[in-house]
Amino acid sequence: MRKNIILFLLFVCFSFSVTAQSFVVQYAYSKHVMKDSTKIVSQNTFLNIDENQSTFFSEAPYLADSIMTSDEKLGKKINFKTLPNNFLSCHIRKKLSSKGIIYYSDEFGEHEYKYSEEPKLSWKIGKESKEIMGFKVYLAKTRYAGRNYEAYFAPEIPIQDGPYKFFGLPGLILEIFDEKKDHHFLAVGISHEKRISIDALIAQKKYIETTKTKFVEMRKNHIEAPMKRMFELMNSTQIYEKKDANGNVVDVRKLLNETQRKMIEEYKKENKIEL
Amino acid sequence: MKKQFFLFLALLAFSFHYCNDNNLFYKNDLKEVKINTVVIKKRFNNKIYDLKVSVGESFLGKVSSFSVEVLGNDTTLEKVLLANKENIKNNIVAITSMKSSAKGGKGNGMFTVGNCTSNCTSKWHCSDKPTESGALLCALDCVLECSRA
Repeated sequence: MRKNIILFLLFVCFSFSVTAQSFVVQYAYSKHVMKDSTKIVSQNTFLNIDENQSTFFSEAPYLADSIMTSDEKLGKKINFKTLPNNFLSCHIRKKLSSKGIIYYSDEFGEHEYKYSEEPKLSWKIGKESKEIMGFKVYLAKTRYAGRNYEAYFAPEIPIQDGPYKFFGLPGLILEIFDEKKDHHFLAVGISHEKRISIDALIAQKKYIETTKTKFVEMRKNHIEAPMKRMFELMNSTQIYEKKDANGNVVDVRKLLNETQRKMIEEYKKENKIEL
Repeated sequence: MKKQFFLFLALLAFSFHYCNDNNLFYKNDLKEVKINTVVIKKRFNNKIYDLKVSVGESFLGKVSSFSVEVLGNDTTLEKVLLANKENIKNNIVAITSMKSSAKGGKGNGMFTVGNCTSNCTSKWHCSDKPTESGALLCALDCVLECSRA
């Protein structure tokens, strides 16, 4: 009987501690705008931590969706050039119990991909410490996807989670950056109140399930010929001319060639987090 | 004994509930909008007024709000300012359509043709068009919109 009571009490304690872990961490994500560039751009990103999983995402797709909905309601033409871009090009969902993540791509538009991964993060915890948002944080180092990272974690917040795919330290990661500072995540706020969520956007999108290896291969092919599908459609439909908004006739082949060249140049310069 | 046990249980539950609201590590709130405030001096009718100007900062440091408040009890300047609503409206439109405004600013420091095109084709579901011609024409509209200056 006594054993049952203790077990019951433990269960009560556990369930309360679990509900207490539902909160959101805001990270300022900064990156060099391009490879070898000194210009830095930054964006808000959020880590929504729930009972048994967390979701890490940029505010950009959420903002873009809001702007498009608002423009449509007001009868305004959507200006796609001014919509915020997702600097991460993905959303990450983690299941810490299984040490696994699901990567949801956010860069191809209509056909997005998702893959599962169990990142092997081998952490070396150092003695250096500092303060971030009033928490004492300790240094830890790891290597992932071709970059060496330095992370600062807070043992006061006993959650083994962090931004992007990073996790596995004995406390929440409040800062992490690679040695070149090409990518930098810094916690700037923690709150109970989740004012922003990406769950609805993930739910309404169609994701093609794949593996990381296939995804990397597919992306490599895409950046070599991003307009490949458009050229195929042009040839099969034999549409070689089109009128633009001003009524001028546009040579479709020339337009696609020019656009593809621009896109390839952009891809060559891009500062991807995973090398 | 049983009663004591339930009392203990109730106390335990209450204490955890209480902890949940008050004893967590939330030392600050989300910084979704930062507001920068300055007080400037403005001469009007040979009198100097203090104006409190606040500028709200949205993502990427862009302007999301703007307010001017006349400090002190003298409401003369406030009345003069409010009298010309058309002028205020024009000024606000000019501010919100600036490059550094969250509403009107062009680009976010990371404009790419690829991102713009994928946002556009995704919004209009170009690949779901019933015919290949429809899909191509829809995507071409996006390419024209995104790749031209």
